[in-house]
Order: sequence, then structure tokens, then C-alpha cells
Amino acid sequence: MLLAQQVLNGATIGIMYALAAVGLTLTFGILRVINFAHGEFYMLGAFVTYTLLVVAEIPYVQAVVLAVLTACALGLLAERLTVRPLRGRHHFTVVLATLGLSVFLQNGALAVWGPDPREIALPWDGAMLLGGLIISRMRLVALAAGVVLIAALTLFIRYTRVGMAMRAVARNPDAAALMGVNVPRIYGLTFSMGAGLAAVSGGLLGAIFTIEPTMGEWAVIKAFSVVIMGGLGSVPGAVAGGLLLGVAESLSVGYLPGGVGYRDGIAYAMIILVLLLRPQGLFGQRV
Amino acid sequence: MPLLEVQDLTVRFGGLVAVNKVSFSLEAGEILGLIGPNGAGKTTCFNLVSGFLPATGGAVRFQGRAALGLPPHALARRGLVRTFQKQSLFAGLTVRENVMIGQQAVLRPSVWAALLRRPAERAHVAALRQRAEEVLEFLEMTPLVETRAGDLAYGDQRRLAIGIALAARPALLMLDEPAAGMNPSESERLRQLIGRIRDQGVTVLLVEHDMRVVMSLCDRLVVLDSGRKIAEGKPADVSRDPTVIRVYLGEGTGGAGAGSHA
Amino acid sequence: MIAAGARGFLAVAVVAALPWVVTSTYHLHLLVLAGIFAVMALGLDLVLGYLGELSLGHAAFFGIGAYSTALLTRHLGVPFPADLLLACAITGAFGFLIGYPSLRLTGPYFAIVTFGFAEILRLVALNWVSVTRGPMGLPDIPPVRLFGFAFTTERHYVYLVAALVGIAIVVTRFLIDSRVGHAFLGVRENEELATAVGINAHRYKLIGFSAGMVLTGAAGSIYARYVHFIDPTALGFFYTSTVIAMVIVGGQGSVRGTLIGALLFTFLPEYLRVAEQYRLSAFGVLIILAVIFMPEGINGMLKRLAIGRRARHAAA
Repeated sequence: MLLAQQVLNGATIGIMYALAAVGLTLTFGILRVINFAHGEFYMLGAFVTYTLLVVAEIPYVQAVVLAVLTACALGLLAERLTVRPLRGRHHFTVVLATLGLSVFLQNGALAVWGPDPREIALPWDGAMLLGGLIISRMRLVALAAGVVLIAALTLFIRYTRVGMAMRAVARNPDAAALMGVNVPRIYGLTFSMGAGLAAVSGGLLGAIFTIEPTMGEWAVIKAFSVVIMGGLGSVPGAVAGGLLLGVAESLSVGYLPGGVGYRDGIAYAMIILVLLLRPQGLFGQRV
Repeated sequence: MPLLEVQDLTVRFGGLVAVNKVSFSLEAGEILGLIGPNGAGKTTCFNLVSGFLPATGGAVRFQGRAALGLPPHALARRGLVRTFQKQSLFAGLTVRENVMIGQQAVLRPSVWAALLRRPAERAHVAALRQRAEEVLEFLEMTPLVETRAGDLAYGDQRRLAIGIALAARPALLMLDEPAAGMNPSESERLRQLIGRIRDQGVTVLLVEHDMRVVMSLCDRLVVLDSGRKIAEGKPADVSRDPTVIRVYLGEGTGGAGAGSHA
Repeated sequence: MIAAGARGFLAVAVVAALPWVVTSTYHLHLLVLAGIFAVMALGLDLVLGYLGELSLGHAAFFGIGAYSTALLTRHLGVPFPADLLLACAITGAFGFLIGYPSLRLTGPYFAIVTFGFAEILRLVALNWVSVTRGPMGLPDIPPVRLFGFAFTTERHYVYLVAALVGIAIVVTRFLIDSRVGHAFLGVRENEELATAVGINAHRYKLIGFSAGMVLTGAAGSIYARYVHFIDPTALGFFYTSTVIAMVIVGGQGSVRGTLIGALLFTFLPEYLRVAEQYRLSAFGVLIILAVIFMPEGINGMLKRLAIGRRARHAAA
């Protein structure tokens, strides 16, 4: 039973990793840009939610929604100002630009909110029994929200006009442009969506863990490992990778000696193993 | 003893047998053309022999020694050097640097020599430069030594590709569609160049679509279709072979005609 | 064009005079740090500029060098320069071991796998308390002592670090100008073709990567000696990004650009202190502006200026 409980705990966190990772993998799949500032949008999701709750006293759900919209708007702006001017340049310069963006946002947050960890008051307390397993209501909400959002995103990409345009750009931007797709607009939109997804994850996980301005650092690392495990650019892969990482971490804390100290090491070890043994990712296809 | 011996060479991709028990051999000093319609398995065959693709079965012997399974750089050091259809040069570097890098095959550069035996190392690099200039003179590209390879005219790029391979001092030079995309005067110049390379004692194996180049230049032809060898012999004989005419030449002689038979 | 010997002499003269021109301890301190960063950046440039691969684990190798020296001097009393050489060897060995599997990957995959290895090393430094004292770090690393002379002031270290920078420049130049350097270029420009003409691409990537890490280990070793202290924050990603910024903004694949980048990104954040808590944010913005407005780095810009000047001379 303990094992099943650990797996369930891991899965709720894993879905959040998946949400953040889906944003990152979309940005890579479509813009071919590794966004090192991705974790900062996750952090902003948590901190804007926190501020709206505490300062404006807006209810939790509305606060998360507003935080996500803020992240989307900032994402749009960031793409316009840092990524777009570098299109067609050496990919190192784009990496450095997103690193600069990350330094800017993280330290901006430190200046605004200070370095101390904070807590978002739990919007739903209590726990429920679910087939003999205990799950807190907050985690249940996060799990449900994650599943719904990922399903919605999948449908959006598959069936809407914008989603089809995104897939066309991912496959071949020049051909998509010839067919009348406004490629720069899709780039901006995708980047902004990626930022928004990271912010959802931040807003929800922020209510489960404490939050601090540097939280984006490890979030981007985890999102990366998930994306790599799933295969760069693959949405289903990111979901599976997220679940796998969440469960693996949860089990390592439960079963490894000194597990907590090295918990974050699990993510890196998984990335390294997957990359060295199966570079296309667990679910990706060999190109 | 033949320079290159290919026996029952086979490769499967899933259910598809891309090259099926192909055998042929090359004598030193020969120019052999590997021809066939698109999708016949010529380039795949090329990749197998040069070590860029692992074979499923068969054997390749180069200079009497087993060659299958060796990495491409090891084959190059033994004297089997190839070019590529696309991007067969170091685009960001000058023409001279391109040819200098080509000579790496015959060197064993060492870090210790670079750091601790500086005068000897400088002499080595000077020798590379010298040899690069000789190769470029042979290619009639001397005025272009300082040009960035990516900025060269198309025909010059193709010739430089051969020059890079030539700098590696090959015993067997494998050219992958060297005349592709060339205009008639460029391909005529290329034909002469390959002839001169053979006169220097280098054996040549080429995959080519341009029938003018193949017919006038090659001593022998090997014809592939759907991964199998369907004919082999002197160009004049092969061009009269009914099977060849049916699958290949029947579509109209000349490079372009073969394109539709994918 | 000045001959290499004359240029070297000029550099020595400038460095010799420097501590008398720059008198404030604070600025001398920054010069020492810039020199250490320059060596580290030259190491990274071998990977970034000459192999064309982005390593995101660079600070970890700096940390290995620093921890090596800390442990060797504190526990075993290893004297200078033996600890420096051992630190280089240990860091080089780690470079080889990590590079061996990682260099089979390219592009984003290589970047992320090096990042993973580096983070694991940082976690080890943080959690292996019996050896590294974890987050408390290792204090009391003895200063460099050579022929009975103790290096204690910033001024002493300006000379020591300048010598190290000089050695690093010579090593890099010798390597790049050699046949090995030509193999690097071939692999960077077209790995497939390089292989076809007999270059064992993986071997040269491993040589370049390990050599770069040896330099980085030297930087770490001297850093530990200079500040007498090392803790796991030195292995953090912030330092990796800073050094990447030095190399790319300076101009990848150029010794001159890398040196300028190291100076710039050591002094700049300090001068941004006027912006107080917005200092590092401003630093982030400057990085973005630099890559947008100087696409080929400072070195590329200097080159273009020089060409422009020559063209104007020719026209006049």
C-alpha cells in the first residue's frame, strides 16, 4: 500500500512537471529554441498568484487564471524582444539570449519579492480516501486540472486551425509560410502558450510547496529532463516523461537511503541515462 | 589481387532489402561506374562500402584485407576516401584550409607534438600548406585559395570536394554523383579532371547519373536495379544489354530520364 | 602587424606596470578575478568556438579544480605548483570520463547531458559532507608559496594569474595552430566529411574537450588558492552562464574576443552595483542587448572596424 501511495503522490507532482514540460517541448518543437527562461515563467505563475491572493485578495482560482494571463502576455513580449530579433542566427546566441532573460526575470523577482520563501494559503484543505489511498484535496484538484489542460491542449493542437498551423510550422516553416501561415505570429503564440503552461504549473504547485524567486532554476531543469526523456518536441512524450520523473522521485525519497538530498539527482541521472542509451527519447522517433 | 572486392553485400531496413547480394570488384587503376535508376541502391551501396552504414551481410575486402565493420575514418586512413553528393566541403573555411584538413587522413596529429615540439609542428603545418597548394594547382583552383569555400561557384565547390578527398592521398577515390547539377561545360571539365586523377594512379569508383560522363570515362560499369546487380561490363556492352535497356536506358538516355524511376 | 614576440613583450610590460597604475585593492581584486575567468573562458571556447558544441556544465569543472586543490592542500599539504598540476590532471580526467559518452551526442542533447552531469557533481559537493563539508564549504586553503615567497596580496595574485593567462593563451594558440587544430576545424565545420577523410571525430572532440577542462581546472585551482575558500555555489549554473556570455559576447573561436569578454563580464556587474538590487537584472538585459546588437561578438565588431579603416585608407 505504501508503494501505491508513493506512486500516487509522484503522479500528482508528475502531472505538474508534465504541464511545465509540455510548454518547453512546444517551444522547442515549433521555434527550435531551447527556452532557458521557461522556469522563470513557472516562478512568475506562483508569485503573481501569491500576490493577487495576498494583496488584492482575489480568490485562488481567479488568481491563478490572472497569473497565467500575465505570464502569457510577458511571454509574448519576451518573444518579440529577445527571440525574434535573433531568428536565423547561430543557435548559441539564442540560447544566451534566453539565459539573459532568465537572469533578468529571476533577479527582477528577487528585487520585487525578496529572497525569503513564501507560502500560498491552501485553497482547499483536507484529504480524501481514494480506493484506500489518501490524497489531499489540493493535490486532487491539481491532478484533475493537469489532466484536463493536457487533454484540452492535445485537442487544440489536433483540431483547431491555429493548432494545425502550429504543426505545419513545426514540420517546415518555409512550406507553412508559402501556404499562408503567418509564421512569426505562430512563433509568438507558441512561446506565449509555453509561458502560460509553465505558469499554470507554478500556480498549482505553488500551493503545494513553498515558493521562492529562485524556484525557476530547478523547475527548468526538471522540465528539461522530462522533455528529453519524452523526446524533444513530443507532447505525449513530455506527459509520460513527467509522470515517470514524478514517480521516480517520490519512490527515491521513500526507498533510497539519504533520498531527500539526492532527490534532484534522480532527474539528472535519468536524463543522462536516457540520452546516452536512447538519444531520441523514450517516446521520440529517430529522425 | 583486386583493389576492392565486394561479395554478396546486403542491407535490410525493416522489411526492405535495399541492397541485395551485390558483388563486384575493382582492379587498381580502373574507373568503375555504379549506375542504375533512382532508388536502385547505388548510394546505399556506397555508404556500406565506405563504412557509413552497417551492412546486414556480405563481405568487403580492400587491398586484400577485410573492410566491413571498420569505421569510415579508419578506412580513409587505409586509402579508401569518398565524397558526398551534398555539402562535401567545409563551408566556413578557406579553400586552402579545406584541402589542408583533407590531408588529416595521412597524419597522426598529437597534442604533445602541438604543445611540446613546436618547431617540428610548424614544419608539419607548413608542409600541409605546401601540399594543399599542389593539390589546388592540380585542380586549377590556385587563384581561389583564399576564398571561403561556401562562397565558391557551384562547379568550383564540386571540384573542391574532390580536391579535399584527393588530399587524403586515396588509393581508391569514391565519388558520389560528382557531376550532379553541373552544366555541360562544367561536367566536361570534371570528366577531364577524373581522367587526370586516374592517370596519377588513383582508382576511381563513381556513382553517376550523367550518362555522358559515365559512358566516356568508365572502363567498366555495374548496373543496379532495386538493390540487385543486373549487369556488368564495358560501357558499350552494357548499353546494349536488353535488361539494362528495359529498366534504365529505355526511359531515354541521359541523366534526367532516370529520375522518374524511383 | 606586430610580430608575436614583440606582442608578447608588450603584454608582459603592460601586466608588469598594471599594479602600479591600478592601485585600489578592489580593482586589483577584480583584475585577478577577470584573469581567472579568462582562463576558464579560454577552456570553454575550445568546446564552444573550436568544436562547435555548447557545454552547460562548465562551472562544475571549475569546481573540480578548486575542490581538488582545497583537499590536496588541506589534508595532504601538497605544495604549489604540484597541487595545480594535480588539479589540472584530475579535472582533465573528469573531462575525459564525462566527455567520452557525452560527445557522442550533439546540439541540444550534448548541452543538456553536460548540464545533467554538472548538476550531479554539484549535488555531490553539497551532500558528501564528510569530504566537502557540504554547504559550509572548505575554508583555510593556504595561499600559494613559491621558493619561500608567499603570495598574499592582490598585487601578488595579479602577477600569478597573469602568468597563468599567458600560459593558457600559449597552450590554446599552439593547439589551434597545429594539425590537431585543423582537425578541430574540420569536425566543427562538417563532421561527416571530416570522418570521410580520416579524422576520428570523437577522438578530436574528446581531446578538445579534455584540454578545455584542464585549463578550467587550473582556473579553479588558482581561485581556491586566492580566496582560500570553496563551496558548492561555485559549481552553480550562474557561473556557467556568465562564462558562456564571456565567450559568445566576446566572440567565439577567438582568443582576443574571449579575453575581452572575460574583462567585460567581470567588471560590468561590479559597475552595475549602482543599480543596487536591480544589478543582476540589468546584467541580464545587457546580455540580451549584446547578442542582438553584436551578432559576431566584440571580436567580430573589432574585425569589421579594422577592415573598414583599411578600406578607408585604401580609398584615400
